[in-house]
Order: sequence, then C-alpha cells, then structure tokens
Amino acid sequence: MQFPSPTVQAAPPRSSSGATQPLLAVRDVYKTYSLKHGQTLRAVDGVSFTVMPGEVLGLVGESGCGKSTLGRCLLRLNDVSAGQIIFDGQDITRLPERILRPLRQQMQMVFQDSYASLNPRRRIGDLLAEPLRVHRTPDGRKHTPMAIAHRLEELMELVSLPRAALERYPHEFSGGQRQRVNIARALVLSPRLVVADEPVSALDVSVQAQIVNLFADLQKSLGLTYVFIAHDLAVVRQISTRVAVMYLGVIVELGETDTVLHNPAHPYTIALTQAVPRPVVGAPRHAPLRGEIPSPVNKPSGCRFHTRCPAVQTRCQNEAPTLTQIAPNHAVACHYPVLKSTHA
Amino acid sequence: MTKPSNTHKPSAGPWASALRSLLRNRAALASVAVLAFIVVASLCAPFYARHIAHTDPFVSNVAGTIMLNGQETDIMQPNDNPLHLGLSPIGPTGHTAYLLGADSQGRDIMARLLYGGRNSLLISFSAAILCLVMAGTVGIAAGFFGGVTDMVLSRLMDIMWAVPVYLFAISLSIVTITSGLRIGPFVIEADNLLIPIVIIALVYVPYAARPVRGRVIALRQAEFVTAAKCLGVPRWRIVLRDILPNVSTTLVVMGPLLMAMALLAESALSFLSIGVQAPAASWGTIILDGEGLIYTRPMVAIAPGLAIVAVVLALNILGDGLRDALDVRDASRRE
Repeated sequence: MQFPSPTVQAAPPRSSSGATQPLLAVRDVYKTYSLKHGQTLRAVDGVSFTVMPGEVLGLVGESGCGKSTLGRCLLRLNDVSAGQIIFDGQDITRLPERILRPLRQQMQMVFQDSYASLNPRRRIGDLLAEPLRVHRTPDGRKHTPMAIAHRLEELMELVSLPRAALERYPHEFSGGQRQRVNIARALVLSPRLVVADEPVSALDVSVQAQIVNLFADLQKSLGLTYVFIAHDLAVVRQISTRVAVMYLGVIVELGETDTVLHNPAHPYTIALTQAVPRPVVGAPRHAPLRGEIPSPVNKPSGCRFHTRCPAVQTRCQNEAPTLTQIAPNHAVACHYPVLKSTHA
Repeated sequence: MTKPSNTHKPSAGPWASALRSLLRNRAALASVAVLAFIVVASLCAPFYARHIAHTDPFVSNVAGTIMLNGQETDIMQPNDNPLHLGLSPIGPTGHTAYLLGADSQGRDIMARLLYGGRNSLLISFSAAILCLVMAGTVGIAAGFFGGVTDMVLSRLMDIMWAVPVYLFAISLSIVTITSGLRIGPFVIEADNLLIPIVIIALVYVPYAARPVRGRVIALRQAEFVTAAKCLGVPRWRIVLRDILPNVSTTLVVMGPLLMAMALLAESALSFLSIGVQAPAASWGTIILDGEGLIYTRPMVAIAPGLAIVAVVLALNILGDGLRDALDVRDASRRE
C-alpha cells in the first residue's frame, strides 16, 4: 500500500530525559472531598511513587480504596488537593487546561466501563479520529483526512479489529471488542503513559486474558509505560513490573511484582495473595479478611488496617506506620512487617 | 447484542434506525397523515377561497347572496324563532360555497378555517422551534458549565416558572398588542405574527430547559465526556460533539409536545383577541367569532375546535412515537 508520509504516526519527540528520570513522579498527593456536616472524605491520603519509562506499575486494592481516584488525578482529570504530579520532569499539578492540552497527547487513559466511555451516538471511526482533529502534528499543522484514515486503519490492525468496525456504533460490539476500541483510542495520539483504570474487571474471564495480553503486547512493541489499576492480583501479576498495594487511600506495600506477590510483608497484601483461588485440589484454605473496608470518611486511628489485621498490636491502634524501605525496591507501611524468614 | 459481521455495509445511524422504528409505529404514522392533511389543506387556503368557494374570507359580506339549488339565498337569514326576530348567518350549506356556513360578518367559515390553520400552525411550529433553540441553549449552558452560570439561569427559569404560563403570556401580549415591540432600531408592528411567536416560545422555555439541564448534568458526568477531556478535546467542542447529539433526542421528542402546547396557547391568546389580529384569522379567532353564535350556528365554533383537538392529539401521539423510536439502545435490542 502506498500512503503519503504518515504525518500522524510521528510521536511527539521523545524527551531528552535519560533513563534515570522517572516518566511520572507522584509526591505526597492528597485528594479530599468535602461532604455535608463538615466531614471530609480522604480518597487519596498522601501517596508517593515514581514510574520509570517502560515500566508497568500495577495498582491494586479493594474497591473504594482510592485507586481510581488516584488514577484520575495522575492525568489531571481530577484536581489534587495537595501534592505534586510530575510528568516527564514537568510539574503538571496546577497547569491550566489550556497549557496542559498539548501534554495530554502523551498521557492517556483506558476506562473500566467500555460502554460508558464511548459516546453511543458516534461511529467508532469518528470517535477515534476526534483526538487527531483537535491536536496538531508535531510541526504544528492539522492532520490531513488522509493521514487520519491511515492512522485509524493502523490502529484497527494494532488492536486486532476489522476495518469495518470503524463504520459501526459502540452498541454493536461485545465488551471485549469495545475495550479494544478504547485501547485504540488511547493510542491514537501515540502517548507515552497509559493509565488503565480496571480495564478488564468488567469483562468475562476468558476475554480478560485476551485484553491483558493485548496490553502486554502493545507495551512491549510500542515501549509504553502503564499504570495498571486492578483489584485482582492475578491480572496484575501478568503485566506489572512493580506492584503498589493500596488500602484506604494510602500505599501499604510497594515493590517488584515477584517480591510483593511471593514474599509479601504487609498483612493486608498477604491476605490479598491468599484470596487468589489456587487451581489445586486440596490447596489449603485461608481465613478471609474479616469485616468490611472501613469508610474513608471515618478512618481508623493509627494504622488504617488495624481493625482487620490478624496480627494487630496495641501500637497499631495509636501510631500510623509510614512507608519504609525494608529491602532494596521493597517498601512497606507496617510496624511489624512479615519478613521473608518468617513467611516462607 | 449483534456482533459486527465482516461485511462492509456501514451500520444504520441512530437517526436512521429511529426513523425505521417510527415507520413501524402505526399510531404515529396515522398522526403524521392527519397532520400532513391539515397542513396541506391549510396551505391550499388561497386556492380554495378563490377557485372552489369563490369568496374573500377577509371582507364582510352581510348583504351578500349565494345561489343554492338555483335559488338566490341571503347569507344573513331571519332566525328560526316564531317571530323571526333578528338575523343569523347561513348554516352549513353542503355546497362548495359556505360549506360550513358563515360567521356573523357573512364570511365563509371553511375558507377562514383554512386561512386560520395557516396562522395557527405557523405560529405554533415557529414558537416550538424557537422555544427549543432557547431552551436548548439555556439548558446546556446551565447544565454543562454549572456554578454561577447554572445558578443565574436556573433562578431565572424558576421565576418564570412561578408565574402561571397563560397569565404570563397574556400580560406580555397585552403590553405588546398596543404598541408593538421596539428592539433597538427594529420595530415589530402589533399585528405581526412574530409577536405571538416570540411570546409563546418565551413562556415555555422553562418547561423545556429544565429537562435539558437535567440530561446535560447527567451527561457531563458520563465517562465518555471524561474520556474526551482526557484526549484534550476543548470544552466547546465537547458540548457540540458529545453533549448536543445526546441531548438532541430529548429536544426532538419535546418538539411535537411543545408545538401542541404552543397551539393551545396561540388559540387562547387569539380567542382573547390578543393573539392574531383581525381581519387575519386563526383557529382561536374563529372560535371567538363563533362564541356569539353558539346556540344558533354552533358549527362556527366547533369546526376550529375540532381542528385544534385533531392537531393536538396527533402531535401528542407523534411525540410518544418519537420517544419510543429515539432510544438508541432500545433500537439495537429490537433488531
């Protein structure tokens, strides 16, 4: 096929940043909502982490722990209450939308609800072309209709959908296919960072694997960086290089995927890993966590997890632990972390 | 849920599939036929008056005569009471001339009914469109921008809402009917149809704007709007490309219902002689003409009354049909 020079394909210039500079740095971010009666909901309560280029950070936790709110804060879809979000060395926390808009090309999101995130009254081709119509090429020109059409075909191939899909409406697809469309839309502008907000939790298990594999393939072939949000450790294990475990608005454990999943040090992480069903007959059953996740409006004093912790001590009720390094690349927020020697 | 086949046939858009499901709705089709008949008949009013009824429905004809069955008959006839006191206009003749009889000025009711239909339908249609445009703008602005914009617009709507519609319309009409409307250098004469159109559109704006605002508030939270923001789509473009197409169904469904309400309002104002001004006719003015003849020549008031009922009923059925047809997800389920 002969196409004119694919102006669309050209990604924004990869920055001068060396491999040592994180693509995304989150510093002590808070997101609070004021409720009635003077109460405040602290959805994200002091979170810090960095994501290096090419890395996949898995963000896990129960529903309501603030992981989706955090994900939206990362892309400035929510404004943070305090803290800093630094993208590629640039503080974007307070950038006005007008200045942020060109930067948005480099950071995209895939949403959980594949139906709600696609306008039901617009064809897939129209939806995918929209970002190209509002942004300009790196040399400041408009994308030509030819280049847009070419780019859309490329994307369809990338996410394994037939070209005819471009002519169709979102309701004509299955959940998995729609999520492919969402992924394609997130990739239209050749972003560097993709935040995936529970992209597979609404899908059938068989389809989940396909979509996670697609994410993994795209990450490798396009050199993408992901923040991959999930409540399912099995999903995160497949794709993440590092894992952050969130509980009630804070990160309780952060480390390499293997370390966190096989040698978890926080009692909460241990409970999560044990909650993953094992396909082995006679595999030992573990007592599930007791009780519900406490309300983020009235958080427990001291360590937030002490109300449900199987190893709770008096100190936990009064003093909040901070995220501390217990090994290289492994940090835990617990007064009595379970160390490798005791937890085999 | 149908999965895309491998054919290259583009799928029907939401409007096309809505039209298809509307075409399967017999009640809606029947009402469209009724409306079409009345509109076409009204458009033919000058033709009817000149070539079929041979009459000028805008000139008083109390001394005139017509030929009925070879006999010259007075248009104003002595009453049927024993003493034959007073005169009544001729009743329905069953002939092309004065088919439905005459009014107290000896004018052909059928011809006036058709001319009146032109004005009534034109005013109610234009008022409905104008109202939808204003309500759409107000509702989208209030719903999407929220905050102070929403507060100012919503309070303004509440104030208008607090005044009874007809009282509001009557007050505005009385003010404008004497002096016309002066907007800067433009003067709209008191007998201009624009005056009832603007007044009727204005008084119904709160009724149409509120549901639009509610829909927009829901849409603003929709994930596809967040997705558009995430893609860097400017706000005005989100309004035009993502919000408006989803609100347009609400507006389209409201259209016929608004037109029905506008028709009733126009008839009411004209009946009170503060709408369409004599000698022009509207269904409301003809009912007013028939008021004094209600015991002797009830057809003068009944004919325009029936026309109003037919149109309002048809518009309501059409509105219901549109509401059923325009649910996108429903349409996909039915196929």
